[in-house]
Parts: sequence; C-alpha cells; structure tokens
Amino acid sequence: MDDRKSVLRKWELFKVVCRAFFIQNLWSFERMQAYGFLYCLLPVIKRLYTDREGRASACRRHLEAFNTHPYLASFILGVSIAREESHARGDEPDVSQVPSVKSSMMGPIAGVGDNLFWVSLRPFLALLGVSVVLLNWDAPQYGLLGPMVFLALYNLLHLYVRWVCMVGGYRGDIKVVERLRSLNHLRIVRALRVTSYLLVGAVAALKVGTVGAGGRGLPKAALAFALMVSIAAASRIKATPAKMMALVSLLCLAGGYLGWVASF
Amino acid sequence: MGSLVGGALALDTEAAFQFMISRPLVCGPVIGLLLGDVGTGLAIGAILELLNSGNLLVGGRTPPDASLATAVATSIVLMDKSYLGSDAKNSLLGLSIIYSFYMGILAGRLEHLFKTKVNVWFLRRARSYAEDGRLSELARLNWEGLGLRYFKNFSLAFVSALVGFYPIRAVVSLMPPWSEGLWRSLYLILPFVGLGSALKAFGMDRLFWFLPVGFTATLFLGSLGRMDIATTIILASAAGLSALLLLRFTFGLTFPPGGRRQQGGG
Repeated sequence: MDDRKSVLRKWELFKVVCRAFFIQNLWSFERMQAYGFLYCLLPVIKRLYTDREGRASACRRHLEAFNTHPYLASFILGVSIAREESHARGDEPDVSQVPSVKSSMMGPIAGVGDNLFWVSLRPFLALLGVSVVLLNWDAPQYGLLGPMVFLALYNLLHLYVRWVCMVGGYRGDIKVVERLRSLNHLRIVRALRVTSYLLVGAVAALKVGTVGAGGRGLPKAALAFALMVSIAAASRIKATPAKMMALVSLLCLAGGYLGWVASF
Repeated sequence: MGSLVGGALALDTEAAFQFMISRPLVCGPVIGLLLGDVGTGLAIGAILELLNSGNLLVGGRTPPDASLATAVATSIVLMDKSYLGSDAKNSLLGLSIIYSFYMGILAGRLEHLFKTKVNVWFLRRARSYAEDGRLSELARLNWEGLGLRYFKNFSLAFVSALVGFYPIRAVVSLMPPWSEGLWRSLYLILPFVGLGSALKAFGMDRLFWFLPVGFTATLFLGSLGRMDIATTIILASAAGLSALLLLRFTFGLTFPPGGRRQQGGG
C-alpha cells in the first residue's frame, strides 16, 4: 500500500478536510449530500484530471445520490480519493463502480454515526451542560461552564473522528469504522444512557428543591416527576412538542386562573 | 444584532461545520452576551435546549430550528430590558420562549421547503456545470447557497423578533393580576417539560428505571442536607464516562480493563 506513488499533495488533502465541514450544504431531497460530496472532492478532481472530459466524468460520478452521517462521511471521502488517485495513476482503469462502493458504505456508516453522535453523545453532553446551567440558575458566571464543557468534550471527539476517518479511508484502513462500530455495542454506551437517566432524575430533584421537614414538599416533587414522565410518555405516542407545549400552556392557564399552580 | 448573529450561528445546524455552536445552550449565552445579559441568554438557551434535544437531524428529517428560536426569544427579551427587574420578568420570559418555540417549528418547515425547492434548483445548476467540467462554477455554488441560507435565517429571525416584540410586551403589560401566577408557574415548569422532552432522545426502555432512582436518591440526600454530594457524584460520573469514551476510541482501551470478549452471537 505504501509503495504506491502519490499523485496528490498534502495540500489537496488538507483542502478536502476543510471542505468536509460543508458536506451538508445544499442538501436536497433529490440527491441529498451529492453536491456537498462533490464540492469536497473538487480540489482532488482538479489535480488529478487536466482534461475537460476527465473532470466532467469525475464530477458526474460523484454527483450521484449520496447520504450518510456528516462526520463519518470523511471515511468515504478518503476511500473515494484513493480510488480516483489510483485511476489517475492508471492502476485502476475502471472507476465506474465507485458510486456503488459509496452507496454500499453510506448506510452502515450512517447507522454508526447516528447512533454514536446524534442519539448518544450529543444529547448526553448537552444534558450535562444544561445540568450545570440549571444547578447554577442564579449564578450565570458558573452556569457558563455548562456550554463550555459541552462544546469542548463534543468537539474534541468530533474533530478527532473526522480526521481519523479521512486518513483511514484514504489509506484503506477499515479498522477505523470497525472501531467506531464496536462502540455502539459496548457497555460504555449503555452506561452513558444510565448516567443520562440518573442525571435527568437528579437535576429534576434539584430543581424541585428540598422536600423539607415532614415531607411538606413531597406533593410538589411528585407533581414535577409526574409531569416529566407524562411528557416523555406522550412523546412516545407521537404527541408532537408543539401539541405538548400548547397543552402545558392551557393547563397552566387553567391552573393559574384557579390559583392552584401559582405556588409551584 | 441578535438576528445577525443568530442567523450566522444557525448555519452550523446543518449547512456548515456542525460544531454545535448552533445549539440553544451555546447560542443563547452568545446572543445574551452581545445584548448585554448573559444570564438571561443562558436561561433561555438551557430551556430551549431541553425542549429540542429529542429532535434529531437524521435521514431526511428537518427538525424545528432551535437556534433561530433561541435568537428570537433572547432578542425579544433583551431588546428592552426595562421588564427584567420587574415582576413581569417571568411572564415575558415564558411568553417569549413559547412564541419562539413555535417560530422554530415554522423555521423548520421553511428549511424543509428550501431543501425541496431551492437546493434542488442549485443541484440542477451543479449538474449542468458538472456536464461541462466547470469546477470553479461548481465551487462557487457552495458560497451562493451558504449566503442565501444566511439571508433566509437572518430575515426570519429579524421578522419573527419584530413581529413578536410589540404584541408580547402589550400582552405582558395588560395581563390581569391573576395571570402573573400562571406565567411564573409556566416559566418554572418549562425546565421539567424540557427534561421530559429530553428523555425522548434516550429512548424509554428497561434503563428508564434509573430515572426514578436518580430522582428519589437526590431528594433523599437533599432531605439530609447533602444535595451537594448527589450533584458531585452524578456530574463526576458523567464527566468520567465522557472521558472513557474518548480514551476507548482514541487508544483502543477496553472498559472494564481486561478487554472485551470475542464477538459472540447477537
């Protein structure tokens, strides 16, 4: 693998890494990330093909329908760059299967990325950040730590994954995706969810405040907990947030008029 | 100012970067800082973050625009700070958050329309340039699309803030005395509504039982006057897990030490 002569310079690869931040721009229902993917590869196409027909043919290849997780798309970008480079060098005369290689990878990679980033990591870290804010409700100078912790932890992993995927894809190192996929089945992700539940419960309890002597605050705590679980259950039966918000506002309106929620 | 910055931050949702600076939790304090009150921006951002945390940008879904909602709510509240020291503060915050929440849904619908019509138009142009191998024109489309989307975000945030500002102020000043309790309650209830919505993001399976465990354990520790211990334990374990996840991926470290068993069934 290493004995191949590279046609591309580091500069083109660096440009692709930077352009990968725009892969979702111009996302359309017709071909999804197709334009974004092509936009990322433009510096490579420009370098590898000097004739008009070669460039047009490469552009057509990468303007096919494509959609995957935006961070892990870097891996497929890396693979595509390697294929195009190999074709330009003359090692791989037929590149007509490149779109089908991309399509075969985009589904599994989207599954890994969506589970890891959108479903597990982002909600968890956001919750962690919000918890810091809610616990320092009257002291915003400390509450600001919440968004900072969220941004720092999330982007540390996000940027690292983007870089590793791009380099791994270019070098044909499939272990990168395997390693990411293994995370979904590890107990650490399960532990992440357990901690999230504990965190939601703890933050809700801290917002309720102390129960007080003789359990005077217990009805208030029970009401808050019931409200939270009802909202979660309602979202399971496809009640939209808009409807839920309208319902809560109406309940408050009724409660405010009758005077039984004013002391919440 | 709020709309200018909010429009730019909203680009991070999908069009560019995805560093999560568009999340309400980050967007709120940034706009709050620019408009002179970080604390209010932080409070609005935290509530809207919870309310929107169950909305995922997966596949072809276009969720409500949470960053635009945050920009609108923060701008409405901080455009005129005279209410912030008064009793009407909670009413203003509650009404602004609800109004902007629905504006976020509207912005999401508009974004959907953008993907169906405007971006398809860009795609057709891209296809015609691709046929001719015109690379510089193809590259330019990216910036045109980004500019147009920024203009859409900014205009929507600006118009929503202006349209909402006067009616919300009028409603707050004309409110009957009994309704102050309502809005105060609503503002206090919103974090619980948000926490409930956030649970959607984690699913509701067997692990759901950890929710009452966390709730009652913290209440219990609180009744003993040791709420600080509960908070420290939970926040430390959450931060520890994040660090472990990072180490696991970066260095291939196994958890627990000793390694994972060979892949079996399931």
